[in-house]
Amino acid sequence: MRLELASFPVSEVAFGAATRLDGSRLEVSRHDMTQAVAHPAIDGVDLEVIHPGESVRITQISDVVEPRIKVSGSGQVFPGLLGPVEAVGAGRTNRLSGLAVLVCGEVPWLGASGLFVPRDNFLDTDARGAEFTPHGQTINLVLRLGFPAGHTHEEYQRAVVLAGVRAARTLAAVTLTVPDAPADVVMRDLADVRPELPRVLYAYQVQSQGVFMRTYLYGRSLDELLPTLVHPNELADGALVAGGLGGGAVKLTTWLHQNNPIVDGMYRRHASEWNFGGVILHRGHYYQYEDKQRVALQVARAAQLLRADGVIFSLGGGGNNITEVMLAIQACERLGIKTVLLAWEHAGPAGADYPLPFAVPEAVAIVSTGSMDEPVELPSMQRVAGAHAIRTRPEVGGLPLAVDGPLQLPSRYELFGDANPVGWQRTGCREY
Amino acid sequence: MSAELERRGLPTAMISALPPVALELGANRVVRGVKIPHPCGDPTLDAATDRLLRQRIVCAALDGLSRSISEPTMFEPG
Repeated sequence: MRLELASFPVSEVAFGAATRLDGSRLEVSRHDMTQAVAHPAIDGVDLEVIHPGESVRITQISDVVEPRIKVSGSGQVFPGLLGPVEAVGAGRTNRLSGLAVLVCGEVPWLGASGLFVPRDNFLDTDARGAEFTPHGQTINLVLRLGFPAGHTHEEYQRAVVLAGVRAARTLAAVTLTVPDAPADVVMRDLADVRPELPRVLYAYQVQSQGVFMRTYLYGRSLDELLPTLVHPNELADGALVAGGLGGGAVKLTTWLHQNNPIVDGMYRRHASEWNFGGVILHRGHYYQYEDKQRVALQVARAAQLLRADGVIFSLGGGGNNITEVMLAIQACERLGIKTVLLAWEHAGPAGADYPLPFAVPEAVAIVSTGSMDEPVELPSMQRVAGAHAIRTRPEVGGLPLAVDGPLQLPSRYELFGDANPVGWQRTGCREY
Repeated sequence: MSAELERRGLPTAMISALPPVALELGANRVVRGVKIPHPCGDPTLDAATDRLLRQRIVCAALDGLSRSISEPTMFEPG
């Protein structure tokens, strides 16, 4: 199952009469984008382009998607959501590299409460805030959707998911007719292995528990997912799509599923330092301890049946999902399978509390992806793209937070990309 | 919170849907709850059965509070 991922870099985006690519300059038709996002639960879209180097605070993001389209091989990108359920991950796929589609907008709070509201967020494209997100370095095409009254959260959520993937594929379609060759083509194939090398799997946890935190695989919601196996090339072709409304720090976007840095890293040294054996996909946040135990034993069983020597774990979202992962680590280690975990720290503002709500003695190799709680100061950006105040504290009914000026945040929950679960950020730490 | 209260001499019992997590974090008396969104009962049951379940859970907590313990202990609703 060999995939050729062909990159057509975009260095400039401007709105124009048609959607087309001229060298690395992309012209986008507002009409094409408006058509792509059209849905009964949407009433209009504002479009905006933000280039790297600009200083912008983008608010109320629900998802980020990279434009991709399949040229050959079975199926089409975002299978099951756009078009039929057909296997993807082989053949050739084109991508518009350096470009990200951000699906934004103020999703109405319809009397839901606690964790189950669309959580507002923001990202900064410059200065300190840009350290936490890839999107200070991408050209960001912002689709700011309008949500008319009279619909349910499920309907808004459906509209948001489809808007992102439709816009992404519409944009990537420009590559089908350009005369230029792609700037580079990366081959991705797990088949070539060196038998003497250790076999390493990636246990990829995602979040899927209702409309505000949902993930799709081949177009099916993963709210009931028990661990399953996917080929990493399926991720590159958009088989895994983030579908939740809003979301704060530690959210996995579709862009991260498509550009997962752990997958990239494992491929980079495949058949040279290890054999990358595949991806165990699982979800956390199950409501009962017994379900977490079921997830753990199935992750370990999958690793064992695939003859893994080692498994890398990452987290999907924050909170009690650490329990599934820790139990899975314990189960793997007890089968003689070595583990490494990438995890956020949740140790309070001073970092002095327990960083993880749960741990097992077998978890001896943990890489921190940063703090969810550490206060952070962010300078003002030159402008705000989107609402100038975001809604925080849903548990008390919601409090507006003005984001026009400099920000002194007591924690990082609203900072999109903070403590990124798959390690995409440019922060580090210093030991004293 | 449980640790802080006990530090000031107040025994506590924690009803938790994730008892091993509660025990690991230092709760001394842990009662097995139902599920994370509703640890103290079960809204999928009919009202009468749910009420009995809630009583059993709370009584297990009260029973735990009245017992002298020497190590972190789990209490199952009867």
